[in-house]
Amino acid sequence: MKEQISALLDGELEPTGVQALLSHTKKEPALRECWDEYALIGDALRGEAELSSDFTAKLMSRLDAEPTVIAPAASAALAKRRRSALDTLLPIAATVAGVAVVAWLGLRVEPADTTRVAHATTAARAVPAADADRAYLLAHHGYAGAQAVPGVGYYMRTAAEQVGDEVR
Amino acid sequence: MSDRQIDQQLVELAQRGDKHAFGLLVSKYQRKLARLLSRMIRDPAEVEDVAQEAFIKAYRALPSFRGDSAFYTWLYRIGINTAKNYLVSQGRRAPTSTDIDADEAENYDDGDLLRDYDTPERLLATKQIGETVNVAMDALPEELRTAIVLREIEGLSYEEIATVMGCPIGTVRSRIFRAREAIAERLRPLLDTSPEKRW
Repeated sequence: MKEQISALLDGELEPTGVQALLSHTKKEPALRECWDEYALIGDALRGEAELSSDFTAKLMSRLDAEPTVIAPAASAALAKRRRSALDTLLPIAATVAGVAVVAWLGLRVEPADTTRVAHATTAARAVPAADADRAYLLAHHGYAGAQAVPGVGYYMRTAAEQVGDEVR
Repeated sequence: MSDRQIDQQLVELAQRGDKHAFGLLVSKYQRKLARLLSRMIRDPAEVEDVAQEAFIKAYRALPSFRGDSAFYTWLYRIGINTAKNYLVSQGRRAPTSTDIDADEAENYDDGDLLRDYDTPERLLATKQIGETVNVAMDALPEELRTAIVLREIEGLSYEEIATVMGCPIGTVRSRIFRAREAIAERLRPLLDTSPEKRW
């Protein structure tokens, strides 16, 4: 296990073993001592300044007086990172979906052309002069000054207008 | 898993209330932080107090650490701010931001300042540890000495050391561990491991 501590200190331990080793380290003071010694050896080789040998022990007893760090912060940070991934993927998915819908609608409209021609033919049929309401509207359109778009009165029809037996 | 990833994992454990995980980070970075602080504060006792304060502040600020930077960069910034505040509170001039910077602090060569930082007692302790480590290094078989020098002094990864030494990564790992154990064996009599100094 000490060899694993040595690799952990160097950042060279396989990810699968890290969690278990850290759990052991939490329970076993001997492993923490080992970590301390290896860290000291590295610092001594690099000529780092020496601190009191009980620096960590003093700090840890001060930490005992500190309230325990709140867990949600860590999970919130983690959730934020996960959200960022979603934030990247969602716009792409939305764009693809949008393009797909437009393409589908375009394809769907194409075969309907014959129907549209049939409707157009019907619409082009002359309005019978006997249509009294329409004749009245055409005769008096000049008095209807409040139209939002002038001149469209000619082309307005009521929704329930009938031409013969056909309801349009 | 890289060094930074392992630090991040220790931070996340500490963020979930594992104080021992934070202790491992303290143990790993205390001397580097002290070296940085000694550039701003000459008195060794004060350096130690400010280092303690910086770690406490870092612990309190852990919920806000999101891993955007490496833990040690974040810690060094806290250390620099703590030292500046300390100097201001003492009515002394705090260095401007151009005097010291966390990013360049890592590779800083202490030179004369490090010598100022040492008191006779501390110098003796540092000297004893340094000498013991050197004696232990000289006594190591060549392949163990090379492996640990490439790791600790040159900062090579296990993979790079394996390439340099022409051996498998597993052998590198084993050699570095055996070198550390051999040095630690000679070092232990110098280290005070009484129960009250354990954590």
